[in-house]
Amino acid sequence: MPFETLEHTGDLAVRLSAPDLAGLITEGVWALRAFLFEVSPAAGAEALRRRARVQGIDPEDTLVQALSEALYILQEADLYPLDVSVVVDAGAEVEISGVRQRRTDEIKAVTYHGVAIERSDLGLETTVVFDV
Amino acid sequence: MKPIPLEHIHPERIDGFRWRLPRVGPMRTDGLVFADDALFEAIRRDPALVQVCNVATLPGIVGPSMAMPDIHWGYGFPIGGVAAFDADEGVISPGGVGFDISCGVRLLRTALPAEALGSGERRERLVDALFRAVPSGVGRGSELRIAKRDMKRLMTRGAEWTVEQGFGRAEDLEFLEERGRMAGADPAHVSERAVERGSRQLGTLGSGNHFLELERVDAVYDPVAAKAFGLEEGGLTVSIHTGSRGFGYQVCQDHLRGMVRAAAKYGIDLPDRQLCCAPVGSPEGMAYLGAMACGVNYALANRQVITHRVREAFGRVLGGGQSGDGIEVVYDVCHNVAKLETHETGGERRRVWVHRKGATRALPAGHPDVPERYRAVGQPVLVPGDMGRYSFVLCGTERARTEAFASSAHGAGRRLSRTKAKRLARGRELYAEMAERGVLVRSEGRSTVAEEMPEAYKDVADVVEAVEGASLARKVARLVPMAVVKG
Repeated sequence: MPFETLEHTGDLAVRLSAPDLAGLITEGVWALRAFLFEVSPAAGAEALRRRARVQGIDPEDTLVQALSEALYILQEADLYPLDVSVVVDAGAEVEISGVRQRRTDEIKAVTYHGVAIERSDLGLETTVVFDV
Repeated sequence: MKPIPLEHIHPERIDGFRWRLPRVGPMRTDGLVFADDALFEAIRRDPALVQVCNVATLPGIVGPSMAMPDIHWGYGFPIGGVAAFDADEGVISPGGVGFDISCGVRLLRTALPAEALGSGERRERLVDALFRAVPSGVGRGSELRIAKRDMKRLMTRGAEWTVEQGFGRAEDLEFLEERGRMAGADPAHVSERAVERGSRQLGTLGSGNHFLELERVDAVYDPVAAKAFGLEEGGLTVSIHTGSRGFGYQVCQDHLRGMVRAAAKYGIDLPDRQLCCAPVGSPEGMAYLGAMACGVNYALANRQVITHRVREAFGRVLGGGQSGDGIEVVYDVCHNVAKLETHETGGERRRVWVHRKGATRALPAGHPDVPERYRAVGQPVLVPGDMGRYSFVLCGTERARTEAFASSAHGAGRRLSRTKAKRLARGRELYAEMAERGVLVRSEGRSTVAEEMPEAYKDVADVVEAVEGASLARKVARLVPMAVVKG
């Protein structure tokens, strides 16, 4: 199930649903892509791949840290993600492949506000708020 | 700890401009919201009230957990939140400052009447020159590249260092909070990544709600204070709203990670992890404060470089030389910051760390930290509105000092979410609409203008009326936008 955008007056909020933590992180990256890039990349854009490793104290912390790293990668490299691979072990390793594309929006940060991973029909769900 | 449920919060109306949120559950103190009936009704069922109550659960809080009339839903603290923590037994919370450390507003006055710009070609040339001179918008960096050794100087000396480098004048510093340089900055607690991000963004506006605006002084309410601030009806002013850019975001992010662990280490139970904090004197607390001061200095330096660019642009377009003769700083306020201050509370003087998250310091007349030129009237309080209506210049009061840790509102507060605003903007000619209202808009992209359209914000006049009604500040002048540069 794709991420769902929630109403938030000051910032941006999404609800993520997935079978496991790796899926939540992946959905979060797709949400970041949707907010940062209004335009899809043209054919032939430069291919990029970036990787990050994080170590949280619990799943919520791992999720926020992983999305923070993903946000940094997407914004610093202007990387439009096409494929996301996440391995969750003691922490999480995120690999993002895509192409260079000029962003149309900016997100300041991924916040911890209201992040609480709970069981759902699909496995897990949580909300995440992005500071814009 | 779970957040305080909204249905457990039973606001009590104290008077026409004050609402008490009585202590409930794990709250250590009451909440206090400054708002008139209409503004309060709009947030009565808003998560922002939960956030006021959540802040009240933090250790060492002194006085109530407060919110200004522009309160709205944020993350961790509400936007418009003010909370003070004991300097010895309290905590420091990066979430009480925010990611954009020391985001703030600087007001410049010019020696020109607004009519000198006219409504045609001259105004267009000036706003185009400003748009070229001050990089704005998503991903746009600065033409400046700050070397690593100079970043250390910038982090510790802020606007003072940029003035030494030729960006502005020494007399500008008198009219900046902290005189342009926050003490206690410690670059050892700033990551390489933050330094790298900061090294290429000095002198940039950014996107979102940041702006550079030309304004006409439309009304003067307090002639004595306006005269002290150098403002007169019909005068031309410039406002700069931006902060510490990616440098500050990274500092906050880096330290939040440590604070999540610190809160667990010190046994601090949190209703919202974004409120993570550590005792002020702990290694984690001191590290954050040292890094936060670097962020404050970066923001002060950023607005100083932009001030210099504004002067250059005026000089090129309107004459008066590259130094922009006649353009002077009225004041520069930070609205995302924690400061060590001394306040009288509960009948005693206490040193407290005042967290202002979307709130402005508002010192009264006579306070030693008010620039000498303004000391007889009080500190200028700059309250920007949306880009289509007006902004206000206020003045700090004694009541704000005794009741609200010398704090006031910082802006209009959003009415619509960004997604709703964008939906409303579909199919509309926003630039033409703004031009029809007499406001020229320049921006890198349409997206920000859609998010920031006037309807997306509350009427800042309502906020200012509530601020004045609560005696937190008094009106001095109103500024009407003539041209706006957005990200």
